[in-house]
Amino acid sequence: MSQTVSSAIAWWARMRGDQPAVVLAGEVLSYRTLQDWSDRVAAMLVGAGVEPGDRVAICSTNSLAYVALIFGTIRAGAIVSPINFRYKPREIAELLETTEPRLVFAGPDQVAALREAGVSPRDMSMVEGLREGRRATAAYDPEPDWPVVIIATSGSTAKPKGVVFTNRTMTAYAANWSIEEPSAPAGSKVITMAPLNTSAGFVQLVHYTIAGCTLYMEPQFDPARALDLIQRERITCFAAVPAFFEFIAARPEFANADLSSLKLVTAGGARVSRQLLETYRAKGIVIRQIYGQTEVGGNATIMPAHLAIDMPEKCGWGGAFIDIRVVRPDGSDCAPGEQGEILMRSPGMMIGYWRNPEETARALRDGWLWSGDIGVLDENGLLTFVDRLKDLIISGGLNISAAEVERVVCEFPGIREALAIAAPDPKFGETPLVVYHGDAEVDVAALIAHCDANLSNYKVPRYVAFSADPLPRLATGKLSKPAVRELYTDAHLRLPKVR
Amino acid sequence: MTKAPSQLRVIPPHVPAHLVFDFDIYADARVGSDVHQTYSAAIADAPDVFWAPQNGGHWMVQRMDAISAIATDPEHFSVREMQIPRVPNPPFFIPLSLDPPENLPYRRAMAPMFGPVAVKAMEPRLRAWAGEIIDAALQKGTFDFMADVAKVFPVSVFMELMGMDLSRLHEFRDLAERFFENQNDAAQIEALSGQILGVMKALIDEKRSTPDDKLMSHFIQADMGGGRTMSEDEILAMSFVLFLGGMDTVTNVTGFAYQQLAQMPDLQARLMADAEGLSGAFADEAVRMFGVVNTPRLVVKDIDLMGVPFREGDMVLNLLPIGSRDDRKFDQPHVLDIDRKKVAHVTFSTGPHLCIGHVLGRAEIKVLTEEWFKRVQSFSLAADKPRPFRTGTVMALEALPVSVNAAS
Repeated sequence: MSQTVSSAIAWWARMRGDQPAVVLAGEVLSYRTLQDWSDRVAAMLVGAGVEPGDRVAICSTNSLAYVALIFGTIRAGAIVSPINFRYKPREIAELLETTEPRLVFAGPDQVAALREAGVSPRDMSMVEGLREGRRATAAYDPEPDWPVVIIATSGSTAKPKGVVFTNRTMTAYAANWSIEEPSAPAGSKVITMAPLNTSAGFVQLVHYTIAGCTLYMEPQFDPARALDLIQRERITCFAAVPAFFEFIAARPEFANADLSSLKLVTAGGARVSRQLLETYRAKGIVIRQIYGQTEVGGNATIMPAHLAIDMPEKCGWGGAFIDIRVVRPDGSDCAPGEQGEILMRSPGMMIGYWRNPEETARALRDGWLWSGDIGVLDENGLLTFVDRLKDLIISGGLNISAAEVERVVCEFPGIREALAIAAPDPKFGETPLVVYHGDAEVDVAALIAHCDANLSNYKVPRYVAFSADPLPRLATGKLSKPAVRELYTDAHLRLPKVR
Repeated sequence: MTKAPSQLRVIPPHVPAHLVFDFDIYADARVGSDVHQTYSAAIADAPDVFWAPQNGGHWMVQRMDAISAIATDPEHFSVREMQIPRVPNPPFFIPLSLDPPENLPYRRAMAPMFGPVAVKAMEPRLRAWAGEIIDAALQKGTFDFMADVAKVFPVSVFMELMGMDLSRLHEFRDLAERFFENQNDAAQIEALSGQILGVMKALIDEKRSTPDDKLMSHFIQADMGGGRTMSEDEILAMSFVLFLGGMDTVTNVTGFAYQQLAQMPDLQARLMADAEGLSGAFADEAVRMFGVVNTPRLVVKDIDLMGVPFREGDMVLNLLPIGSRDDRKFDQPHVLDIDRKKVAHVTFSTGPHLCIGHVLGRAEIKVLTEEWFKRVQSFSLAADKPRPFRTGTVMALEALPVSVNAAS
């Protein structure tokens, strides 16, 4: 069992058995307990007929049992298939159709949706019940190249794509950051706020446990709690979107807060402004811009701290094991200052999309990952992220595929055509705004009810605008999203919030 | 395990059971490289108009009379949507997606440039291109008729027609080729469409300052009624439709026809002996037998027609190539017979959206055939080489490897 996620957990169980691996709502899971618990889970899965390569789907909010089930599944050689706990039955059914899991586990609040999607889930309490018990071990070891997870991502298509990581890619990802960032050695304390079904939540959990750190899992973002936790637990690593850092800084207790424990502070998803940088620098903290995406393993590049002070918006130059290029459509390298598509290459990137050879061939070409993001390198090779080619709305750190929202909105009777664009939102950064055209205005409450029934709540449009004229088109016959964005730049200021 | 809607057979309550017949227009296992024959055979036992539950569920119309009835009834059967299965925000093409009378001014603007007189005037240029392209292919001995002849010829004709700078031939050909090869790659198509429109936009600017007698200059000046001329966006949209319509269609009709001709040495000998005399009849029969466009319609108003309950929101696919092989209209419809008495077919559709390029398309095949048999004694399918194809709203032959005996 070499270079597997499970071998790293076994190592830390020996080296730092009593150190907490995960702390969730005050409840502590030590590396020793994690090791024993996940071994029992693995044995249970094998006993239930799970074979290497089978998928084990999990639909639940974060819990220690969820953590044990993840590592137990990986130990059994099976593939974790997280299901967004916010998903509606139709979204679940579409995901299950491609993952075809051997077993499905559900938290108490998710059971009904899964049943409606046509499966009979097992209860998470079954995993909870294995926290104590006799030592048990799966009869075989996982192999480095066995896949460990399928993470659903929102792309420019209406249906999510599943990113596949293996033991080898995830351990290589962790190894890169261990080499590059001495600020996060074993024993570091990390706050994570993302659900385990997201790329950020899953990757942080696996990365930092491979590295022997302690994760403080927060059920949601609460600036006062975060500030308190950082000081009380002497947190060393904190990653979030810039808006979260702004909320924390806006707390009255921020002025006197002792943040001296923080060694690695990163922000992604939006630009770090100079003002935000300066606010934290006054506290002795340099917020470093990151760039990455699920497909590359998570983060691809972090701005070096000494450079971030002068250029807070830049994202660094790749990593010890991570190469970055910016290219023209024909694949040739852009000149410094010239915008192009960001390409990345690393041993931590995905092996492909689950059961999707066409999309895989499109994303992985000649060993390089084509990100679908637009960036620019300066004369020193430092990357600046410019825009995403993929049509996404990023709301509260969650990616929403505009195409998926449009598909559901267009099903509503009376809607001839509709586009979903991002409206600025003080709380979530962005939120979906739908512009539609039809013969007459539709009943917006009924439209929102239709969206509620078919989309997770964070994807449901918050603003709806009616256009009496057909929406603008490109000469190719397609709707012109740039033209609609321009026409509706300030629409959120005039329109009522419909949810 | 539940199935997502996309995998389901969709049969709405208004569709009677006796009209349901399984057929996947994109990937039916019964269809082979001889697409037309195998497609016809697969649905031979299906009703004249039937409901295929695959791809979201839609009607399919295989008889010529039924096709004509639907194509000439825009009140019930609209061109507003042409995607199967239906998609959110379907693309909108001028004038293809406009029902009459809105499409008429655009057709009137194009018509003079596509009539018999204009096409006749273009013939020497068609001939020169055909000769040059065939000569280049023949240098290779065994070659892919699709890549080396059928795909490049219509691009050259398009450039000629529009009045484009022919020194940029290879650049534009390459662009067109990549466009049609990347049909399933939305991002590539978007990038390539942008480049093609960029070329068209530059052409508009050029023709505004130095007009000529070619199509683009004509678009710029055309009176759309009441002295109105077309906006730049309208011209770009029209040019794009001509680009789409002028390439894949002629390319594939020619390809399928030559696939058949490659297997008919006797017909080759006759054409070799009298290309000029017989090429017109060959082109006519090629067009009748090897149509490649199936035209979708959206039902916008309920109607019961021919015993079929068409309901608002239903998609309908007119199988023009199958309709042109209707055994109620043609004796031995699947035999390529250049001595056949000329009878109306529906390859080019009929009614308000009759293909505007039908005279030009036929002329291209006729001229190409004449030039081919000036240079080729006989040809046959290259043994054991696969001939991939695709079906759907446009049917295409993706490769046609041939072995050629050059004329002495």
